Order: sequence, then structure tokens, then C-alpha cells
Amino acid sequence: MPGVIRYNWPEGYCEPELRFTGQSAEPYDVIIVGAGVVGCALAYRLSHYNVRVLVLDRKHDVSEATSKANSAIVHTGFDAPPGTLESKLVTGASRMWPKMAERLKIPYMRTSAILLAIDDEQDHLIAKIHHKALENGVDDVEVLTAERVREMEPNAADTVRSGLLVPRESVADPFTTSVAYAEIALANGVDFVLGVDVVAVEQAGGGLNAAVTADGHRFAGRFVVNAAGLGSWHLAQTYGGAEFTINPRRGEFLIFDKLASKLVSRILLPVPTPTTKGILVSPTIFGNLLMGPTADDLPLEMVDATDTTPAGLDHVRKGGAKLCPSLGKWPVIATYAGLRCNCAEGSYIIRPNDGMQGVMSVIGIRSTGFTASPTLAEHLIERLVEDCGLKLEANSDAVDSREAYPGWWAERPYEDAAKVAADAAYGRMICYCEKITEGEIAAAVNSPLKPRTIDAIRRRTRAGMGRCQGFNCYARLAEIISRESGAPVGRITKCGPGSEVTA
Amino acid sequence: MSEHVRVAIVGAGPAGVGAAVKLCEMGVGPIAVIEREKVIGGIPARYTSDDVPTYVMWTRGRVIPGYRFADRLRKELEGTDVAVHLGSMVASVDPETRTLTVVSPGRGVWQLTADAIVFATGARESSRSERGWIYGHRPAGVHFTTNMLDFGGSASADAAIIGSEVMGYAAAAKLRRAGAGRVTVTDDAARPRSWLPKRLFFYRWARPAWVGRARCATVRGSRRVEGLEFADGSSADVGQVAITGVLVPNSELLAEAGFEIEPGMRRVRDVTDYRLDASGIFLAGNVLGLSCSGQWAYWTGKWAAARVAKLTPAR
Repeated sequence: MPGVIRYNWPEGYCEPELRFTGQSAEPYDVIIVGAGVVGCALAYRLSHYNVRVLVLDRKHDVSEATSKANSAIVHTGFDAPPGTLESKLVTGASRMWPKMAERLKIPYMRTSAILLAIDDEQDHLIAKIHHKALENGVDDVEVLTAERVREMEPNAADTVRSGLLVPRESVADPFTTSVAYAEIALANGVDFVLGVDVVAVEQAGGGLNAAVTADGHRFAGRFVVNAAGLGSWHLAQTYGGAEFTINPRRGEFLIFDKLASKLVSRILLPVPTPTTKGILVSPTIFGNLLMGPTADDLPLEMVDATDTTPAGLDHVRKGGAKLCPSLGKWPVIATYAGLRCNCAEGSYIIRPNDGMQGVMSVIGIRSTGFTASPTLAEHLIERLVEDCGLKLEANSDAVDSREAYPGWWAERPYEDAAKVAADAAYGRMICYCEKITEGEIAAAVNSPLKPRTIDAIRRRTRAGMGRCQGFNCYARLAEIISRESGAPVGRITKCGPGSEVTA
Repeated sequence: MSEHVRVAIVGAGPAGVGAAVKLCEMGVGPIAVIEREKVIGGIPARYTSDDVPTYVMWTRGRVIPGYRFADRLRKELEGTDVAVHLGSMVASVDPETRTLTVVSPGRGVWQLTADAIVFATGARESSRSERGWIYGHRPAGVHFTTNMLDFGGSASADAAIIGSEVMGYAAAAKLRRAGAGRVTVTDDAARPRSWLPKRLFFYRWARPAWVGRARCATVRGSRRVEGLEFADGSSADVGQVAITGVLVPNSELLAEAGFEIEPGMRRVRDVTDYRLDASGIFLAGNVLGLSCSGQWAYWTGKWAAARVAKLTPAR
């Protein structure tokens, strides 16, 4: 039986039946706090067993924080610290991705990457990085001469001395990934309550724990997984979890107009320094080029500091120019910043029964978490079973695939004559830049997770994400969401209550 | 499904209508106009209120609201046998065969070939990221003026206008009329970009404060905009920000068709007297990289049409 999704919207912001009003089918076997890519992947994998799972998040969509603003690269793990859990999970996941993406209908493209050495010092490091890649089991890498690099990427910097080709490095759609995990989990019976801020985890008696929200609601479940990303520290304090230190590490990015896309066809990586992986230039799955990120460590309280800065974007431009100098003169259509979770104690720290029986902390999942999400989910389930005592039996009715890719990927809906004939809305263009039709937008509003915010619809359909950034379609997106959901335009928000587009 | 016309015009804004009307006058036809919006009139048609006039016809010293100018364009077309396809978007262009691939609600994808094509695709206002001096958060309440007016504006909140062309001062007037509080216009230029008499015209509705040389403006507020901070440490506490002016030509169809585009301002290169290269492709209105009023765009449409008639013999 499919699960239910509820949103903590104020009255009138969505259909009454979609609103969370305090009812939930407790107790659950597993409560996952955090609907980022880690929480959603865990819910997806758990949905293949007969366990009752609930996912909670403070935002009004899945993947609204760290998981939405990153470089969206599916890494091979060639440069991970060998022998670590991170290395194991990333290299394992990297090999799973092509098949998983096809099954879950996640746009995914193998671009390959070239690590560029642009001076003598970096040239010497290439051999060392090559060795590290082999140690990580990434044995298809290849050292390139400067001539080879220029042949493959004619717009790479003139100063290139050598390069390291990593053939399986890929890019994917970060938004659809979490959505796909969550949609399959929902279809297999996982429940979601979004828009609830979990502020504490407490014992609830009878072998149960409770996730307590800011407005006092208690969700009871046997096991609670703290996958709250940058919120994990505050939550861990409430259940007496072992010490750790995390902070947001801000990464600022530039997105270039599609007109510039022909300049670079592979991910161009700088040689990392001891402190940072540096600024990269990469194709995105959406057909643009991306430049970034910076790495600014911010205090823990600044979990909403996804603002861009003059210094940050300047740094991105200078860093990117070292790899591809000619890109800088092309127009930038969007700038954004994301916060990744930086943990002083290392990355991928998993603590079962942390402070309380049945509570598991998932800490320090850094940028590679997007790649590692499928194997990390498996690993978390193993820990829940072996260390916490979760009992699993296979759910024989579970589905493990989705029907269709987003409209902007593969065949465009407006080109499908049968589709346009059946519903004229697929011939009505709303987003002119990305060529997204009214039919796709309405379908997204009515998709399984029932997204109701403009940002959520933009992430699913690409409407408003093109070069004009909503000049032509922003108001129409609000109108379509309003029409499909029945909420007045005045109650349509960009990203949840308090971000009303009209106000 | 393929159709052939003598001249295909992309866009039914002032320039496209000007071109269509002139070609009819000269007895050139048949003509088809493809318009992606549901109405004729282009950008002026978006301004549907009598409160504050827009797209002022400075040259005739007359001042009318955008929608009335659009009405006039519509009436001019009604008197002709031009085929107008509304709600239809050109998805791609093949310059060799002068074929347009069009998407329409009723028909899906279809092809239109022509002896000559006039691109009257207009321009849009550049986004905050394209301007290169706006940083900070991306909250609700930061809009292009056109969207803000669609939403009715934020009734009583103070507003900042980014961009000091005449559109900025028109936006200030419209927001004041919609109930906004204090309005500040800001730009990276030292002086407002619009000519003083044009600014003075809008003073009867709003006398916005001016912050010039704003080399950097940072948007505050993570969910809903709370203010703008400037490089010199000063700030404006505002509940809405309108992005105006700095027009970018809608040249992407031509860029995708392989014509060369200036990366910065995205003007199409090699346009001489409205004609692109030696091809049967012509440009009219703000897609030329102008920043002109509806009336002026209309005239460029007529001039381009005269060139089309002269240079494109009937087959």
C-alpha cells in the first residue's frame, strides 16, 4: 500500500487532505529526520522491506538544503582517502549509478573528467594522484600529455602541463535524485511529513523513541535516524549523542548561458591543495556550464547562509579562469550558494545507538554524499540491523523503478504528437527558454509528492531555470500551481510559508 | 504538416506588427506571424492598467498605457489578411531552407517555410545574476517589474528598483500607485540612465530616492526580501525589489541556428540594414540590441519590411 504525504501548511495553502493536522500512523519502525538525499535514499532502500518508515523535514519539499545546491557530480572516488568508509561507499556507488539512474529515471550523463596540472608543481602531483586512484580501485584512469589534453578540450588553459583522465566521472540531476528516491519510497508505503522542524529526540517508553517538533508534536518510533545534515548537531544534543563538531561550508557557484556550453565537454578539475579541492568547471546535466565552488567555513548557526558574496563569486571566476580562460566572457545566467556539512572529526561518521538505544546519528556527509547515497543507504540499514536490532523481511510487493524521466530529458513532450493531441496543454509553452509546457508543470504539481512551491516545481520541470530566469514564466507558474491545487495565488510561495510570491 | 508563406514574422510585438502592416501595404504576401503569447502587442500588452502610462510615444508627445498601444497594433492587423498564430512558439530555425519549427497548442509541432523570415523577437530585462553586481540571498519578493505587477505588488512595503532606465522610473510610479511605501532607485551608474525629462514625467506618481554608483548590492532575507545592502555600508530596508531595464535581445533562436552572437550583449553580428548576412533573414525592433520604445520598434519593423520587399524576390 502506498504511504501518505502530509505538509505542515497553514490553512488555505493547499488542499485540506494534504495538510498535516497532527494525525499520523504511529508507532513507526524507523523515523528518518531529514529528507535530503541521504534521508530519501535510506527511505527508498528501507521501503523494500516490511518496515513502517516515516520521513520528517523542516522544509516543504525534499532535498531543499545541502542536497539541492552542489556541483551534482557523480564521482568515481578516485581521489578519496583510500581505505576509508567514504572511499568504499563512493567507489561502490559510482559503479551502481548508471543502472540505478536508468531504473529510477534520473537524468545522468557520463562526461568523464580531466584533472588539469597547470604548473610544474601540479605536474609532479599527477603521478601521486594517479597512484591514489589505483589504490581506490579506480583503474581506468589515464595520464594525458598536454597535447592530448588540448586535443580533447581545446579551450582548456594554455598553461596545461599534463592531465589525468577519469573516464567514469559523471553528472546527474541532483533534484530528481531525491525526488525519485522519495517517490518510490512513498509508493512502497513510506510516510512523509514535510514542513515540521524536529527539535528533539526523546525516549517515549515501551522501547520507543519520539521525534519532537518545534510545535510540540511527538512522532513515536522504535528507531530514529538523525540524517538532519547541518541540523544534526543540535538534534544530537537532545539525545546525548557523542561529541562532534560540524559547521556549514559555503560553496558559491556560477551557471553560464547554454550558448557557452560548447567550450567545455568534460568536467575540468584543478589539482587539489591540502586545504581545498578547488574551483572546477563542469557541464551540468541541464546543458549549461557550471563554475565553482568556494569553500568558506561559517559558524554552525548560519544554516541559512546560502547567499552569494562579491568576494566568493570573484574567487570562483578567478579559479575557473585558470582552467578555461575563455569562459569568463560569456553571460552568467544564475549564481547560487550551497552549504555542505564540514565535520572536524572526519567524514561519514555513523553512530548507532548514539546516546540512546535505537537512535543513530549520520554525521559529516560531505559533498560526495550525493554520489554515495545508494551505498550509504545500504550501509545505514546494515548498521540498523546489526547494531540496533532492526528486523527486516523483504517486501515482495515493492517497486524499484519509476515510469518516466522529467520532460526536459529524453523526448520532449511537445514533440510527442499523441501527447499533444490528448492534452493541448502539452503544446502550450510556458517556459520559453527551457521549452517547458503547461502540461509538464501541471503534471509536476500533481506528481506523487504533491509539490506546492514554485521552487519545487522549478526543480522538477526546469521551468524558470533557463536564461531569462523567470522573466516570462514566473507569474504563470504561480497561476498554474494555484489552479491545480485550488489555493489562491496569494497563498503560493517560493519555498514555504513566509515566502509568499505576492505578499 | 508544412506550410509555405512569402514572409514569416516571428513575434507580434510592435516591430513584428509594423513589419506585417508595411508588407501588406506593399502588396507582399502571404504573410504569417508567429507569436508565443496569447495576445498581440508584445511587452506593451503586459501593462493592462490605466493608472500609469507606459511605452510613451515621446516623439509625438503623447502618452498612452501599454495595453492601448497593443490594442492599436491588434486593430491594424485585423484590417489585413496576415495569418496570426497566437500561443505558438518557434522552437528552432533552419536558415538554409528558411524553415521554422513551430509548437502550437492545437497542433503540436509543425513546419513553416518562407522566402524571408523577419525576427521581431524583442528583448527581455536582464536577470539579477546577469548584471554582475547583485549578490546575497534569492528570496521571494525580488522580481522583474512585469512579474511584480502581475502579482499586484506588495501593497504597503517599501520598494527598491534596480535599474535607472526609464522603465525603472515607470516601475517606481506603478509600485507607488499599487500602494508601495518609499521607493529607491539604484544602479551601478553614477547618474540615472534615463533622460531627465522622462524621469520628471513620472514624478507625478513617485519621486524615488536615488542610490548611484552601487558597485555591489546584496539582497538580505532568506525567505522574503528584507533589504538591500550597498558596498559603502548603507542599506535600504525594503519588502520588495524590482529588477528593470538593461535589455537583452532575444537572439537565442539565431544563436542556436549557428549565427554569431556577441557574448556580452548578445547582439547578433553581421546585421546590415536589418538584414542578417546575405541570408533571407531580417531583424527588426529590440532584438537588434536597441533599447527603444514600442513606437520606435514599430517603425524599425516598417523599415525592415521595406528591405524585405526589395531584397526578396517572389518565387
